[in-house]
Amino acid sequence: MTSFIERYHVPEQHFWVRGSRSGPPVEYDAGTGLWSVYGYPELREALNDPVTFSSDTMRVVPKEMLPESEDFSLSGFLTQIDPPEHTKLRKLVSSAFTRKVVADLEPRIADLTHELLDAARERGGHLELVTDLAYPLPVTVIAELLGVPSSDRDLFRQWANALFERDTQVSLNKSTEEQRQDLQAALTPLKEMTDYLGTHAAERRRQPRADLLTRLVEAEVDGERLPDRQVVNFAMILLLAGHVTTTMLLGNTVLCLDAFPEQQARARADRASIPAVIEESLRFLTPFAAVTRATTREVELGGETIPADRLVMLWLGAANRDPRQFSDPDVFAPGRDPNPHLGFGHGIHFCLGAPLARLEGRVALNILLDRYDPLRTDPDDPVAFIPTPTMTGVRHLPLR
Amino acid sequence: MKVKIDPERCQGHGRCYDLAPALFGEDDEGYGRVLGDGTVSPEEQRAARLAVSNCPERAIEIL
Repeated sequence: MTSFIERYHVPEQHFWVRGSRSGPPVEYDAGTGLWSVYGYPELREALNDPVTFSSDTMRVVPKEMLPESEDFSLSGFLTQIDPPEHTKLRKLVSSAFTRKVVADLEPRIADLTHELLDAARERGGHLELVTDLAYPLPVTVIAELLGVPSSDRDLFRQWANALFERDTQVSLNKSTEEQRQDLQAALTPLKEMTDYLGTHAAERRRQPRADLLTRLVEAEVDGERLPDRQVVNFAMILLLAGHVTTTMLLGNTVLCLDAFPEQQARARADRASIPAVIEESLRFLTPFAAVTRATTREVELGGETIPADRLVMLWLGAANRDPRQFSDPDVFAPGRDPNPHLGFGHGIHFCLGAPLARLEGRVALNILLDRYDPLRTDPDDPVAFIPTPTMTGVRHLPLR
Repeated sequence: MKVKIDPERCQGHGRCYDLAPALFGEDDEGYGRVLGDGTVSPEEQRAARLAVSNCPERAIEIL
């Protein structure tokens, strides 16, 4: 792993990318006030028990870290709620992301990929994978599905960056001043997004269209329409989760094929192996490296006793490098069979958009391999990772 | 040999119908379902075992 870390300047906070862990699978850190789970079987156990490991984490976050303002609500935020509400809300959109439904998007994804690569070529100079393709492709696809103008994508990127690319440390024990700054940095983009999506949702109520936003404003749960706030939050999560993650997946996959050229040669020669390349990329460089849960009772996990009402970080990325589950975990090996990685999560919150992410990954990588031989990073223009510890992705990936 | 999906466990990962399309399909919400009565022909036995070992929720059973 040494060469990978040095070659791509993997930040220190991405500890699990820097090599599989040797410490205990479950651990409390007094410095941050957080429990962390790193082991594969322990993580599965937690994710399979959503009653004990609740997604309603706001309940246990210290009040000073939460905004008092009425602008802030997580109502309808699919990732932050538990059954039975979660089950009902998830059902509203799950049919929009099935493999069969997203398969119809394949020609559009292929056209977009070619258009974006053509535009980069016409502009001249080298391809910067993130700005030229990995960002605009998924954001355009999800904007079109949702029904918001993809021409606003620079705005979406600004919001996503403001929300996600801030912290280099996850902690409950920050100073009051740091907490206030963190909060403000998140509240401004949240407010702007809420207003933006609220305007579009209101328009769909007046003038329905064939898009997901219309589906949300018309949806009924238990015979009642969703409150505006829920529609907006639901749309927000689809818009954000629908592109930030896939941007990371695309960049990471190209990085893997740069680091392991023999695997690139293999994928190039056998395009049927590309889905396995995407799966291994999700294991090796897990885009959403951690999810958070709150314990609802005292629970034994991995030989430790976690008290009730504690915040627990579940490190999917670390579990995906657990040598008890994956042999040679620090080697990128698309031939793993089976490859039961936790890159899309596990259990009831399993990534709704997985079929879309897999499709976008496969189509884009196929076209990149067609048009670039070899796919190589530029040694004179270093790769830059997103600093956020819970996110694994590059924000700058220049190709030669 | 027959395959069966436990609907309580299935979360719609879709590995089964990807790896063994002759045995599994998907419903309108992306959850896996067994095609026909689940009987596995001798040629499909390898695919059936692959689907079982790849199901992240361990929702598939061989009877």
